[in-house]
Amino acid sequence: MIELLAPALVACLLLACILSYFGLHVLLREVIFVDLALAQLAALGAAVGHLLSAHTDSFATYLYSFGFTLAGAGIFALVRTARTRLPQEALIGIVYGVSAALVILLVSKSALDRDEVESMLTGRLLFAEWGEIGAMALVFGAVALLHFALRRQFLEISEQSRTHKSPTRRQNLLDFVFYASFGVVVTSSVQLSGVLVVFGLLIVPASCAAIFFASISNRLLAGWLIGTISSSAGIAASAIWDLPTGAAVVAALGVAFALAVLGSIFSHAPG
Amino acid sequence: MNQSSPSRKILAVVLFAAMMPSFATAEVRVVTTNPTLADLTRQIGGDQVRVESLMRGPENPHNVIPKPSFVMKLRKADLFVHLGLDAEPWVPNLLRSARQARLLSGGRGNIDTSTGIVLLEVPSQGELTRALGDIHVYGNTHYVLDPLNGIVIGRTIARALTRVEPEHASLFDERARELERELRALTEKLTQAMEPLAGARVVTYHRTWPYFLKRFKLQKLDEVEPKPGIAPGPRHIAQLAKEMERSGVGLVIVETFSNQRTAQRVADLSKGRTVLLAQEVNAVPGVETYQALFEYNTEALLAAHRELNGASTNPPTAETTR
Repeated sequence: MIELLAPALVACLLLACILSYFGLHVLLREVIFVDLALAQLAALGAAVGHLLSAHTDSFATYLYSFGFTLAGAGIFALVRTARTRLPQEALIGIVYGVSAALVILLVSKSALDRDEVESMLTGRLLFAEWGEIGAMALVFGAVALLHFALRRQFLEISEQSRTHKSPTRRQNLLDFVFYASFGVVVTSSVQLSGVLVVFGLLIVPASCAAIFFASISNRLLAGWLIGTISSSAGIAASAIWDLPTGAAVVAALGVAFALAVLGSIFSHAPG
Repeated sequence: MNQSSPSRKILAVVLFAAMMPSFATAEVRVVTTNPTLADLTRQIGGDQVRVESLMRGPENPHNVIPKPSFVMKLRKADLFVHLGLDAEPWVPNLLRSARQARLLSGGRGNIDTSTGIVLLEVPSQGELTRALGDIHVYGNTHYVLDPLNGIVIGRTIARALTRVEPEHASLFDERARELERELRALTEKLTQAMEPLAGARVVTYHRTWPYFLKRFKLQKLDEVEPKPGIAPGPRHIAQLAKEMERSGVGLVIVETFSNQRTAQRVADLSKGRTVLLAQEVNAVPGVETYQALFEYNTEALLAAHRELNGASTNPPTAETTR
C-alpha cells in the first residue's frame, strides 16, 4: 500500500512546494481563480489539439495546451494595462466560463473523446509514475530558479497590482513572465493531479499562512509546512478508508483551513 | 535441550497456525471488472474461487473512478477477468500500477472474455474517425447482454480456471455445461415470452443494447444520444420524438448510468414511456445473477409494452371493487 501511494505522495509534496509559493502571489494579486481559468484554457487547447491532429499524441496535445495557456497569460498581463474599472476576477471568470463552454461545444460537434479531454482536469494521482514525477520536478525546478532570480521584481508587481498605478512596460513584461511560468506549472500539474488538487494546494496553504504571518518568508515556510502535512494526511486517509486520492487530499486541505480559522479565532479571543 | 523443546513445540504450533489460512484460502482469487463477469465466474468456479468485482453495477463502465483498493485487490489476484476490447479504458492504468506480470495483457492471469464472441457493429475500414463519437474500434462492447454469449464467456472462464487449478478441470467443465443448458433453456423461454413484442421497434438511450435487441427480435429505431457518449441537443430530441410518433414507437430503453430526465423528456414528447433496464448484474436492486438480469429486463419490457398499449390488464383488486 505504501509503495502504491508513494508516487502520489511525492507528487503532492512537489506540487505543495511550488503551488504554496504561487499561492502567496495569487492572494496578493487577488486573482484567486486564475489557475482554474488557466487549467480550463489548457483543456481547451487539448481539445483543439485533438481536433486538428489525427493522432492523439500526448506531446502535441501538451504543446496545444501550453499555447492556449500562454495566450491566457498574455490576456491577463494585457488587461492590467487596459486599466478599466473591470476587476481582474471578472476577466478570470469570463475566461474560465467561455473556455469551458467552448470545450463542450467542440466535444458536441466534433465528438472528440469527452473522457480524454475531461481527464485533463480530473487527474489520476493514484497512478502517478516516477518518470513523469521526475519530469515534473525538472520543470518545477526551472520555474523555481526563474522565480528565485526575479523574486524582488515579482513581489513588487504582485504588491503593486492592487494599487491603481499605471504599470510600466517592464512591469507588463514581468507580468506576462509571471503568468506564463504559472501557466507552465498549472498545465504540467493538472494532468496528473487534477484541477481540484491544484486549486487546493494553491490557495489553502497560502491562506492559512496569511492568517498567522505577515512577512513573505514566514508565509512561505508556513505554507510549505501546511501543504506538506495536509497532502500527507489526505493520502493517508485515501489509503486507510479507500477514498479517491485527489479528492481526499483536497478534503484534508479543507480540514487544515478550518483548523487554522479556529486557531486564529481562539488566539485573538479577548482574555 | 529440555528447555528448548517446549518453545520448539510452540514454534511448530505457531508455524502451523500461520500456514492454516493459506490452506483455508486455497481458492483461486479472481478479480473482475464488473459484477456480471463476477457472477458468471462464481457460477463456474463455485467453492473453488473467491470473486470480487471492481465496479458496483449501476455506474458507467467508461467513467469508473479508481481507488487504492482496486490496485490492492489486483495485486492479490490470481486471475483478472475483464471485457477486453476497448470497453474499460480505466483498466490499463490499474494493471500498470498493480505490477503483476501475470495479469498484464497476454499474461496467464489476464482473462479477456471477448475471446470467441461474434461482435456486432464492427466499424469497417475507413469509416473509423473520431467524428463518429465515442465509438469502439473493435465493435460494440456490450456483448454480455446476449444470454447465448454468456455460454461463450462461461467456457472462457472455465478454461482459465482449469489452467490455474487443473485438478478441478472436470468440475469447471461440468459447470460450464450446466450454465450452457440453463442459458439455452432461459433464452428459449424468454424469446417465447417476448413474442408479443417480436419485431417491435424501440429507442435506446446509449448504444448498449444491440446484442439484447437482436436476441429478442426487437429493432432499434434510433438512439437518444446523437453519437455514443454525446448528450443530445434540443433539435435532436424534438426530431427523435417526432420520428417516434410518426412510426408509432413508444418505448425508450434507458441504462442506469444514462440521463433519466433526458430520456423522460423524449418519452413525454412522443407520448411514449421509458423502461429502465439492467445493463449489468446489480445495476438495479434484485438483479443479482446473470439469469435474473434477462428475466428482469424482459419482464420490464413486457410490462411497459402492455401499459403503452392501454390494455389495462390489471385485475381488479379488493380496493377497487369495494
